[in-house]
Amino acid sequence: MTNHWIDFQHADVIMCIGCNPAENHPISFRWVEKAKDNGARLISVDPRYTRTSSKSDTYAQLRPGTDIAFIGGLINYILQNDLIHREYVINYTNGSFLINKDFAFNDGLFSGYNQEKYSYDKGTWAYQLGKDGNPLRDKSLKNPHCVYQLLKNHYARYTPEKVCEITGTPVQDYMEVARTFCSTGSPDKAATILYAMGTTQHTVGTQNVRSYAILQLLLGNIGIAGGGINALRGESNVQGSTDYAILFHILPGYLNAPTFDNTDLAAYLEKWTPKSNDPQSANWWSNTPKYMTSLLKAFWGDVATAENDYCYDYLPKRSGNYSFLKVMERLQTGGFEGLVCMGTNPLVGGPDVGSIALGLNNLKWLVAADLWETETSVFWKRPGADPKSIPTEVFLLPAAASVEKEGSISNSGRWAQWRYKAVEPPGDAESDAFIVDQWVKRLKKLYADSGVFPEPIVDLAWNYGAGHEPDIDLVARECNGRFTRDIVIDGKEFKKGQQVPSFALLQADGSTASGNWLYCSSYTEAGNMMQRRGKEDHTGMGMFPGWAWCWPLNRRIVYNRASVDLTGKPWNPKKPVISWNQATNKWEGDVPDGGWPPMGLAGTRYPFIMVAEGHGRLFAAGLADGPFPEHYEPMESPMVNLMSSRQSNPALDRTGIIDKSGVFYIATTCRVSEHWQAGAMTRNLPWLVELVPDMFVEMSEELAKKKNIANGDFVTISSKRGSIQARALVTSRIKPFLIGGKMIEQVAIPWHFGFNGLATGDSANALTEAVGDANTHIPEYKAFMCNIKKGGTKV
Amino acid sequence: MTPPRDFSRDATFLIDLTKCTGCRSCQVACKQWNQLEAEKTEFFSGEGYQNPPAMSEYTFTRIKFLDYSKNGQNEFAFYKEMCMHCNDPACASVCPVGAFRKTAEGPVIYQQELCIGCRFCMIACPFGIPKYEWSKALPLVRKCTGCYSRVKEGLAPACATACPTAITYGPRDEMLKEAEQRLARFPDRYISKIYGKDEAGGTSVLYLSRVPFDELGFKQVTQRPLPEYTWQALRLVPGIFVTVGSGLAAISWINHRKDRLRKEQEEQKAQTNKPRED
Repeated sequence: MTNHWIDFQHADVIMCIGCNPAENHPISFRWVEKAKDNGARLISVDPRYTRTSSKSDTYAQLRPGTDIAFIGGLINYILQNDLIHREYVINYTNGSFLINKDFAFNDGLFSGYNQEKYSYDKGTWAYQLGKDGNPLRDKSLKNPHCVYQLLKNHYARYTPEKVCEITGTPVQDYMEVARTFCSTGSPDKAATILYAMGTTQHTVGTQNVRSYAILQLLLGNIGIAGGGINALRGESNVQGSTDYAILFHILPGYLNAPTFDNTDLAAYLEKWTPKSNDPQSANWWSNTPKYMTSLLKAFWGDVATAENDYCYDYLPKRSGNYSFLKVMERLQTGGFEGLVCMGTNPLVGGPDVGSIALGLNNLKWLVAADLWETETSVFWKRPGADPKSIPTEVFLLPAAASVEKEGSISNSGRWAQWRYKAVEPPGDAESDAFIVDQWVKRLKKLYADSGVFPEPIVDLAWNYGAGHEPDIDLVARECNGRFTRDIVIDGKEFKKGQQVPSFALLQADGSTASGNWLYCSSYTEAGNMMQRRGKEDHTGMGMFPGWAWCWPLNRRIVYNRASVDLTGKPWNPKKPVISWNQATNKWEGDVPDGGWPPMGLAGTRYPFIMVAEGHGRLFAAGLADGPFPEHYEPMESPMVNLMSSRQSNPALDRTGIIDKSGVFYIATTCRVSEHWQAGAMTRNLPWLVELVPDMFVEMSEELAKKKNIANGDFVTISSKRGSIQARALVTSRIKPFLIGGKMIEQVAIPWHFGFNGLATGDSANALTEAVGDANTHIPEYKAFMCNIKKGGTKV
Repeated sequence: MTPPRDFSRDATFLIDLTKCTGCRSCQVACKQWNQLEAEKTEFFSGEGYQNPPAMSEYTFTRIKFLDYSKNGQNEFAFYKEMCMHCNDPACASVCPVGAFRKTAEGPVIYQQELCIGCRFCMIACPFGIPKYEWSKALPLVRKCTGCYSRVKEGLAPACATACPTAITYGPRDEMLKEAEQRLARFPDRYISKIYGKDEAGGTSVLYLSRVPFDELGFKQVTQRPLPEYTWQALRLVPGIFVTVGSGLAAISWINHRKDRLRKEQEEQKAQTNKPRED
């Protein structure tokens, strides 16, 4: 999140799109309700009328996979009616920046497309540069090559009529959303966008989020109270897991994982450290050398020196896409001997679980670390499998639950809150820290005098005490970082072993070690900031600066330098985030996103410090599929793309299919409050099983009537990947879509069920397709096609 | 009948159904605190995701769902069924063994060890709350305890503690005030009524709603305390008992007088007819 949960109460408008917080974040939803008590209007944009919709002031039905059309229409509405926050757009975004004259967009493709490679040569997606190497600008926003005009041109096609033909939204509902949301361009109004998997789990998922960014930047809603783009994260510590890089393409703190052509540290730093010639651009990632070096020092300690590139050679180098989709793909072609699944259940949670099951058959060994016997851990006795024919050796490591171990959990708002151990884990269950610690210690022993290239493991600095499991306190201290030798920085002395107070003091010369630069300042000489529970709030804005600790540097709202005008006065003095005190020459309020003076004074910096040009990107060249989001249909769609002749995302190596048979309906997956993710935890708890005992599918009254299906009947749902059985829940909350002049039905399928546990049922993911977003490769769980028939597969 | 005591400081629930998301934290918290069994359910029982089919000896509170479309507008609403902890509870009034009691703090509690399983309370309760232990050989009645043991320790009931949005818990006069304030501040959001303020003479559970109460399944209940109805009859019982009893005894005495007299005469005759022994 750019903002945080408590801040939602300051919004004038809240749009929930691609998410269902009343359902899936019921406790945090109280802040949305608080906003409503403060007069906010809640908009729910969803294929179904959900628990969130039931609390909303405006509900807009949206066909799965058409978010870009929906948002594109809002962008067009803003630009056509001149509803932008003009001063903000001119000064804080790249709206005024000029783009290469050869940049173009035609019939679904941007300039530079290579059909054979399904990718773009982005040469034309570049700023026009002046002699000083900085982008040229037209602050009047009139130059035909300025981003603002290109944006206006791009979304001119997204008229309300066209948009609603694509999304299926009734026009009057759409216009109500447009009027309500797009009124927040005025400086005293704030709108926030809440989103989750309904946004990201598409082949255009990244561009979906990009469309929200453009919308919010045009309205001046980033960096302000009650504004922002706020991802509602789906597991209690998934924020922590991405912060610590449990993803193939990054290192802790969102540093880039090196690729095979980054042959040494210098080459790596050259490639991944952005440059800027503009002294007013903070270009914060220019600090990459400091963070990378400090990380290497944390990994390999005293062995890592300037002479050996800080053991950079020890890091694995990647040559491609090692995403979950690719791993599952390789599994099926026998690409792995072994697989470790820690707290993950691909046999229920992955797309096309039928194929995943076949892949698991190929493993020589599987390790599952979990609280429960997940479907994946017993894949060899799944329905229809012959255990005798499956040679895999399976190890189940019972894991400790969150109350059975100590450590921090980072919430969606980036707040890292420390948790304590309340009870001992049952039986042989151990914490993840114990499990990983054992692996490392045993591997170190095994590699001590044999093995290929043992150094990265043998030299790993691993000093977390001599207890049964790592002392989490020591781990947290290391993640913050410490000085590796006595040093003087800007006249201040630091001793070897002292905690580094802030990432601003991390060094590129090996004098600091930090396991995660983002968490630098979370554990200072004063102690573990994440343990704090201070309830005072001098800001009066629900920031509670003394409660736990958030990154970066306990800054509650990021990009908050955009919440003030050029003199440092808040756009909305009634809801200030930071404000410049001219008497003291200091910022007051939240931790400013850079302590430099306001834009009107000397020594200032632009507010969007994490991009090289310092300005919020309306035009963003860094993505695989385009600098502007463009509507493409999902890989399985009932209709042709009405926006262009490119049916699906051109940056993917296959073309989407159009199903006109009329036999298949639009399908999406969803969740219920009562179950969680792949269901291992909740389907084993009797009180929750009592509430939702059986696999079900939600369908419209119209479809039920047509198929002679009564509420509660068994039905069979099938797609190109497989078939499942479920009970039909017939409800008016599901309605068919009127798209392209035709009524197409939809079904919504909860994905919590699997064959193992107290409550069992078929898995929705037997139906989904293993195709992913062009940038992140997250599977397209949310939009596909399926058939429905009365009668079950087993009855 | 003694005049009602002051209920204004009684521990009271304010359940704002416009804030309820039907998450069922309350249902699960109640089961966890009271260690109640999970019921065996299938699919759903009612609209939406409603389960179990009814409150029972194992389910002291339940969220009822409303899921339909009216005039093209979807309705997806939630209502927490629970014991109303009436100010003047009918269950306490009719219980022949005094197993129910309205505590000074507010909750209406019952002592299982006194219950004889007669089920008068089930008939008397206008909200249909007390449930019978059909599963047991020696069945008794069960209902929500208002988490009295928690309340005595200064804690809120389990359901109120678990609820993230809808339930506020505090003294009755403060909850009423809060309810009135919400009705005044957001007139378009609510039906202008606090259910439980006057129902059955007033209860310790107050509801606010946007959906009309009867649509949600709330019962239309008299505003007179239920015991007032039964009191009309019950207060006469001792008098009737004595009057009717003595009346019947008198009639019986009169009816059997002839027999008694005849019996006396026969005894006298037997005495005079007996041979004299000189």
